[in-house]
Amino acid sequence: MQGKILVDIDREGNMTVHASGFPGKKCEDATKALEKALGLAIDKKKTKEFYQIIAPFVSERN
Amino acid sequence: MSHITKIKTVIKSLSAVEAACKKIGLHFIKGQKNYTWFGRWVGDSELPEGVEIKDLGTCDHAIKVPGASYEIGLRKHKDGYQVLYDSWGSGGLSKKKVNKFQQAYSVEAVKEQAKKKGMRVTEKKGKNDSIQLELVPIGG
Repeated sequence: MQGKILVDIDREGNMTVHASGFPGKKCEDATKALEKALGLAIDKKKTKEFYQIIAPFVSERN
Repeated sequence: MSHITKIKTVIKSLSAVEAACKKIGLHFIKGQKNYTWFGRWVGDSELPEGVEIKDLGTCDHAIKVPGASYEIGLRKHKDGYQVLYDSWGSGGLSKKKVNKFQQAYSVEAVKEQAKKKGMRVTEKKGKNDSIQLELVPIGG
């Protein structure tokens, strides 16, 4: 999955930054510089990860 | 990982101010130390953080808005700039006009940072007059 950052800028110019698809800690690294350059972070939340679970093949041979 | 951060925008980049003004038809006057306002404090609103009555009308840079006789002042504050303006009706500056500048600034500031980080930006309109930017690493 390709990493991307979505920035929603409201009519007053304040922003909501959503980073996804970056592996591990790189996700926070990807937005840290952006947040520092743009203003004051007032709230930060980690979102749910989506995992693709590959179920083991179960043989029905009895 | 995935995370969401809410950011209260602080004006830090003068080049993004300049680009935003150009985009929405405002005139950025770099280094102008005064901005036009009513000229006398009447106490009808709260003073911005760190600003005293004697400071009103003074700034580090100014923005001229076509059709308005009053101007927007950018005043150095902490690690950025405060946006100062007088919304008194006859001056022609409304919160809506100033917000439009602040939104345009945010767009340009994000684009500037994206370029520095080697990211491609796609812009589109969002809900409730918001603007959405998608940043993707070039070649990533």
